[in-house]
Amino acid sequence: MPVQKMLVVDVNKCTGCRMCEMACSLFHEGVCSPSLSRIRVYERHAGVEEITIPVVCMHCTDPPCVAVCPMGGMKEDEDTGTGVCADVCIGCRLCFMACPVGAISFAPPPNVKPLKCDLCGGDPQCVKFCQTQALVYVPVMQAHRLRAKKLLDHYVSRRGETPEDEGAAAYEVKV
Amino acid sequence: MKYGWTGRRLVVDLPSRTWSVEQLSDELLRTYIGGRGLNSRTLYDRVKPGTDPLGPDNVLIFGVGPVNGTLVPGSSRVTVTALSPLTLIGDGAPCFGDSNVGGFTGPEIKFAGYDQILFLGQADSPVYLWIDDDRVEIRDAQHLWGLDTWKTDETIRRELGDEEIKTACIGPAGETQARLACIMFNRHRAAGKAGMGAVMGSKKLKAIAVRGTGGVPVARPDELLQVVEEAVKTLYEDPSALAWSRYGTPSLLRPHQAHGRLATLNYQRTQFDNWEKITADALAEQYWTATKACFGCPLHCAHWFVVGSGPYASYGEGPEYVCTGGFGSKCGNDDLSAILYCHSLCNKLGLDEQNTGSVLAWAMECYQRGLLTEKDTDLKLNWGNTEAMAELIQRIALRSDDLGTLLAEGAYRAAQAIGQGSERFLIHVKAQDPALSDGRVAKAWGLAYAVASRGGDHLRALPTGETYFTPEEAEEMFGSAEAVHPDGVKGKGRLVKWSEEHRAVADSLEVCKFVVRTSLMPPEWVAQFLNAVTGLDYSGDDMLKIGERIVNLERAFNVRQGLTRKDDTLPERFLKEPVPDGPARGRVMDLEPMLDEYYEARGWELQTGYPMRRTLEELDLGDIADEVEAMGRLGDLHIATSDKD
Amino acid sequence: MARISVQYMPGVMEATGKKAEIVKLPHPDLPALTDILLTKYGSPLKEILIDPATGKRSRYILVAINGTLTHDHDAPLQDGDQVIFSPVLAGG
Repeated sequence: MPVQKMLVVDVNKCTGCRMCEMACSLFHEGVCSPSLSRIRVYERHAGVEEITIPVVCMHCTDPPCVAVCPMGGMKEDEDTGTGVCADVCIGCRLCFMACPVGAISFAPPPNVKPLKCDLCGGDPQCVKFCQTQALVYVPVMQAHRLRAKKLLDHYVSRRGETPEDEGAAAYEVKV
Repeated sequence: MKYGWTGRRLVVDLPSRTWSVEQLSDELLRTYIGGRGLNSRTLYDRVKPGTDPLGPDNVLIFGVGPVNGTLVPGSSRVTVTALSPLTLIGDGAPCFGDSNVGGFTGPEIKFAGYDQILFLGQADSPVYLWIDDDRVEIRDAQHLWGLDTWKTDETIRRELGDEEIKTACIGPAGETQARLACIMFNRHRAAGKAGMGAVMGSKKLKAIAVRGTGGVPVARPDELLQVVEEAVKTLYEDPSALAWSRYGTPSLLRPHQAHGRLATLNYQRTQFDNWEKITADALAEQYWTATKACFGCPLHCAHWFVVGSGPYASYGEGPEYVCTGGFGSKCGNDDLSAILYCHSLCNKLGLDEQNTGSVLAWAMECYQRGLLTEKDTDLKLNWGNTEAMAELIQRIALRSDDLGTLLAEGAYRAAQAIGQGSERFLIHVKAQDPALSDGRVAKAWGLAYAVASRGGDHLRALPTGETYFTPEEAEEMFGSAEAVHPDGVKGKGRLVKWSEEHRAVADSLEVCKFVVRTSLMPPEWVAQFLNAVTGLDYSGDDMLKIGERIVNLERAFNVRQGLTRKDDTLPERFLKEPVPDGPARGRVMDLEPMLDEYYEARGWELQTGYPMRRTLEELDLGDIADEVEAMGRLGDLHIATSDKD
Repeated sequence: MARISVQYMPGVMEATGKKAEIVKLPHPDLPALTDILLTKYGSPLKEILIDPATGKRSRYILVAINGTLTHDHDAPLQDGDQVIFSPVLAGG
């Protein structure tokens, strides 16, 4: 059985560059266009900060989008386990309404179809082009380590060597 | 189906408040690429000598390029072009002006379906342009007039009901037509150089608002994906990418201090006592809260800052080195929070930080020397007086007192008015401050400032090759290993020529020069990006030739305006006063030999700096050769090759 | 014993963890200085300082001695000299 992987989003690392949107739309549609991207980056004001938040399919293990599709078009992919959409879409938009995250959007008319992340068949392009690792694609059984990293590093630094003096430190060479 | 380009120019006639869409021919696009190149041709065609930059016959052009809005790294840029109200040549004629800016508005213009937006004339009352894909409206902006740039952006997005609208707007400084006025894109990125904000204000154009739901078709998607992946890897092989991606341009302050190039006290010195308080590290430790990027950029060199409390509390994106140096060492100020406050003021009021920092520093030197006294201003313009600096910035933007009004004209015009020898320590080329890097220390940079088409400027050439190329490469490409030697002379002219062409191409594709200058990204790479997007087959040499065409076009525009060799010069301080302190002590610029070599390499007449017919014709600019010949300003082949070996 | 004052600019200082230090050399020249620093800081510094293709100093690292950039990989040094290691940093 193939290793189950998952897409993990770290909002704090997102710089708002939108390369994920460009890579996604380019890979799937041959056009660079945020409107055709399956991942969307939103900008929000939060007090004195401006933050950018990538929103993408979370690849639910029990996907509502698959459950509601009246045409049976939304299926679970064998390799990645994610919902993928076959060419039988009637545009009822039930999948879009069922998604709890708001990660399904629609291509503009006349080619109305759901824009739904399919993990690019196992090699997600958004991850490839994300320079800061705000988006990573990791084995499910290791993903928790990413979230624990901050705490782990904190403990290590408190027990490790004290930082050296930034000023002139002598380094003697024995003749 | 068009790849890369949209092939469409939006023409807006402001007096009649009407608009139309023109088709741009394939030939035109392939000859000038787009962005800066196409803008320059449009300016040349439409603005004749004798035009008043702040009058109805000036144009204002916003240009984007074929790779804007794609996966190409750094494909965020926009060029704004007009006859400049700031720069001066010849007998006081205005000179070519443009400004290049990042952010997100450029790609949005592409997604809406335009390669260029051309504004003609002046509106009779304030307006703003609203582009909603195919739908275009010229809307009343009386309620926005007087608002700062942030408020303007927020109000527009709210009243049009779409948070994803991208704007470009002027603040109060553009409205008062301060010659230092800039145009703010998306609140945080500035089109600062050459007074473009004043031109926009003179047209009573408060803002552009754009929403584009389309995209950029790519001819060879798989190739683009592969080429970009490789390019990003290559970028990060250069350790300067690490510095850039962590610290951005503020990382320059430490090396400039270390190498003796830090503009201090209006370039009276090159070493600043408390430089450590205004470095990138200081920013990172005290005020930066997040890393930010422009559209499509893997170098993410921007930051978000918050000064939470105190008299200089503010927040926003930035700053750049032009700011930390300009309001820092150049003004004798080591208070970082005050620097950030000046930065916030400039962004909200819509003032260019480089030219504003430089006019403040010049005014402070005047005050130091008693050429400005309490008779001229209630402000104590002592070095490092941050309260006075912040107050003066506001008075400049609003022209709210005599000194503010005078300085809003820019340092050059202010020096003409004050006289008393104040012109002698004015740091300018063609009435614009060149940059923060002292022109005496890195020779190619000094030469680059002198010849830049839009007045004093380091980005027209950004001659980093002076330190990237090896002596062997310099020998091969520029005829002498001296080109990369700090004290060299030979080869510098050819190095600057090559650099200017490389940058002109990046500016026309509208890719960030900070991307293409990293890892010495050669013209072949740039051609690869363009080819994958457009499906065409340019070579690296094709790119350089187009760059050469653009440089000559801008040169011809200036020649038509009245430029001669005597305008390609440097401030007296750089030519005559040796560096008094620091590691570069004793250095001074000997410009003429390098200028000779540059003109020779360019095919311009040595005596006058006029392009020769053969040069223009080889670049398919024969029509321009005819025109300048009729004015008696065509370069002569015989003079150029006379007494020199 | 020559005391050489060394500075590391952004892009290099991440590899050394320092911005400046004094290095003492019995036989002062650039190769000796480079060797000591590579020994002290190991592969993080080697990765940026040395071009794996040539085994020589990477073209992306500039060395200035007393404020003047040098292409001479074997440049001699004297007691009190200041050496700066920097990537190519430029812009504004």
